[in-house]
Amino acid sequence: MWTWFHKLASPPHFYRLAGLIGPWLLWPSLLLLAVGTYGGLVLAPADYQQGDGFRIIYVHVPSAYLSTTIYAVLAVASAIGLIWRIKLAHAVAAAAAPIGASFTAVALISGALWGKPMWGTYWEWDPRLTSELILLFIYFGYMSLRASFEDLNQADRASGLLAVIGVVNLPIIHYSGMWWSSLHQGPSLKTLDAPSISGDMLWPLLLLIAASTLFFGALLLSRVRAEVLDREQNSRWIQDLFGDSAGAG
Amino acid sequence: MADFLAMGGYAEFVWSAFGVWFACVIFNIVSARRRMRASIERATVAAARQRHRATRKMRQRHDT
Repeated sequence: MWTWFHKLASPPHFYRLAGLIGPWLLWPSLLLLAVGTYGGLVLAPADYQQGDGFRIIYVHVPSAYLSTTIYAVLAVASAIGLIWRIKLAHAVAAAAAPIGASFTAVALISGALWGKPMWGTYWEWDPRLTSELILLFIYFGYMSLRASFEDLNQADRASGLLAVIGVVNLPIIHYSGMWWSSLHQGPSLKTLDAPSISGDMLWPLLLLIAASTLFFGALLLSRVRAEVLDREQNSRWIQDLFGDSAGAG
Repeated sequence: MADFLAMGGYAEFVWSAFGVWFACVIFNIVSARRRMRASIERATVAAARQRHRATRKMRQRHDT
């Protein structure tokens, strides 16, 4: 188990393996995203209360789910990097940040677009909305803190610490709907209970959540490979790989 | 078709939300590609520099 793990964490091995797996995640994820979008826009019936406006759920829930899931990945990777000084873990955290920030922005924008017709306002300083906005700022803070260091080890350590501290925001986002009276509607999916939405509305949502997870996986692998290349520039295996012909890889 | 596009009166909100989502997916693919290409370029330059340095060192050793 441990030798396997060490082999995986070795940069050349990871670089090769991620390059092989990446396309096998990307193309199926795009196909499933297309099917899920068709299901959500065309096949699912209109909601009896929210009409066709409810279809924003097929954008909003997957992006909101990604925004917090990616942050959890970022924070766990940072913690692993800080505790065991594994550089690949810091590379994973750095690679996850821009992806997470982009989907957090989509969650906020799609939420606003849902809020306007349903609540009558694009924005309200509601606990759920505010904590999600703070998540976006934590992503931005993480990325600009990284960018402010010349030295990569210092950047890893400082931004890793910020990422671990920022994790307190995740339970606040999750429980904000229950702790405070929130404008945000209750969850449509619950881990333990039966979902509060009907099957023909549900399957496109579940499919889109699965597809967006795969999509994140593909993006993450590609970005970690780039991080590894940048970090290992002067090592032997990179010179072997890029020494003879340009653009191989 | 017109019915579908009208989204029961929610057209502007539904289509904007899906538009933003689609743009985000495309943006992520393009920026990951671009990031990879830039890193490959840097690695190629670094490898060439390293090899250049190695041959020069060898030549110097040869001259002395």
